[in-house]
Amino acid sequence: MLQGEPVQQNTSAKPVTGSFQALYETTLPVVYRYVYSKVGNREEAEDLTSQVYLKALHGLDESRDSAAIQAWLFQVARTTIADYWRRFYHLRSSSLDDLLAAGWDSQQNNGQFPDDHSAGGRVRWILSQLPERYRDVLTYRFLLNCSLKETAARMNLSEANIKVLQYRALSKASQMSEPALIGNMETADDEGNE
Amino acid sequence: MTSDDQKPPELSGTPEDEHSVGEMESADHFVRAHDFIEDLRADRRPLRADSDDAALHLHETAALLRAASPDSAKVDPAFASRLFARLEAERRRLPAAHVASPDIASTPEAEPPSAPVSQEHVSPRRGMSRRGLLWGSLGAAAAAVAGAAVTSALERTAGPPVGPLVPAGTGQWVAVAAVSTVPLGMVKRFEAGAVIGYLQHTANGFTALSGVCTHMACLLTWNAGEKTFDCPCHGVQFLTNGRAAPNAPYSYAPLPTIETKVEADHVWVYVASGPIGSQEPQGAPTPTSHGYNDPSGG
Repeated sequence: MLQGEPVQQNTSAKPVTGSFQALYETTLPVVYRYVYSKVGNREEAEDLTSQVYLKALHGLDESRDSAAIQAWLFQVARTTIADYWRRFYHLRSSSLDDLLAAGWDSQQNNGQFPDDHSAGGRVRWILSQLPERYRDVLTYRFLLNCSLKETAARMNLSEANIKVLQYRALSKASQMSEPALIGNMETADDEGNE
Repeated sequence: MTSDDQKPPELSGTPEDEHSVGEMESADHFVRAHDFIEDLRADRRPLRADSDDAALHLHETAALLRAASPDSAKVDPAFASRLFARLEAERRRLPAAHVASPDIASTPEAEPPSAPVSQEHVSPRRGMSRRGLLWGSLGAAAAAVAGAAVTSALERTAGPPVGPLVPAGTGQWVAVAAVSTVPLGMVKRFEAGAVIGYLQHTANGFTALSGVCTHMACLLTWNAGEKTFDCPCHGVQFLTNGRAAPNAPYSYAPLPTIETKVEADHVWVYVASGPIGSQEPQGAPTPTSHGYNDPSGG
């Protein structure tokens, strides 16, 4: 057998650090990628990832297997992001429970973090459903990380045109990216008001 | 960031654009969306205040697309170290009994589920591989940034016992290299079944050490320049005698030794019994793909 970490005896409430460190190192890239896929930038991803771990630490049972711990972290990550959204967005559903009950971010997760493959597949699907020019502008701007000027040159349009086009493309893409979100939230809100 | 208040230009000859022009669309939308995209491209915090459901949806879609860019969503090792140090400090503050925080416990589904167990997440080999792949650059940063909190915490970690990896009488001999391929002074990596180690030809003969860090089982790499076995996870260096270098930030157990012998012009190592391959303890030495595979040792 390959030698591994010392087998942890679950005799104390606070297990040995080596175990927590292994857990942290295994889960951090997964948690971070998930959070990043929600906020799209490093600054917020780091803040929210820190919040997720600091919250999760309080209820963490390190003796559980890694799949259970990842499921736990996923739940904490979802609620953390939902709370974050509520600080900034005038959501019609004001209750976090409503938001979660409405299936927020429920796509294909089964209580676990979506893997890279499913996230990539979602992006490919969205792009494939868009008209060609919309697909092109989003590909240049996001996937290839081209500047406005570069994108304009490649698409033979003015920079002002690109600003319009990218907004419309993103709007169109957002309408097909998570149809469950707004629809279910409206339903929950309507039911609450009537 | 750009902010112009010009009217949206026409995009002639594109039917999809005509369809998507909504009555609520204005130049302000274009400018805000553009600023938002530029912030994401710069990996900085965008302006989110005073937005509605539709904006959230737009922003989430932008984030999803941004995350699909190959150069994004990588964990900064310095951040990983800072957060780890912070968590360690927090762990020490916590009472012995773990109590779920109220805001999380209030969500019924937030209880850690006991099942199902996904095999994808539980394989220790996979976990180790992921660490090796994703955390290669963490080591130096961790040592530099994490500081005393991590140091004191790791010093509490017990290492495996010092000594031979496989006690006499419990394993089997496996040939891992022809003697002629390991000249004096050379260090060579080998794999024999589940054992990964380093064979060294010293003035006193052949010696072998486990190639797995005693801290967290990360795979060591041979640093030919400094003559050390380096751990990619936390930066510790082990000397050729198996002991951690004196400048190691934490206390590490030495690398277990692996018994060696020379027989039939081959170097053999004594490793745990198991499905090694076709080699038999006393059979003809036939180094296979399990044998040495990296002349540089790295």
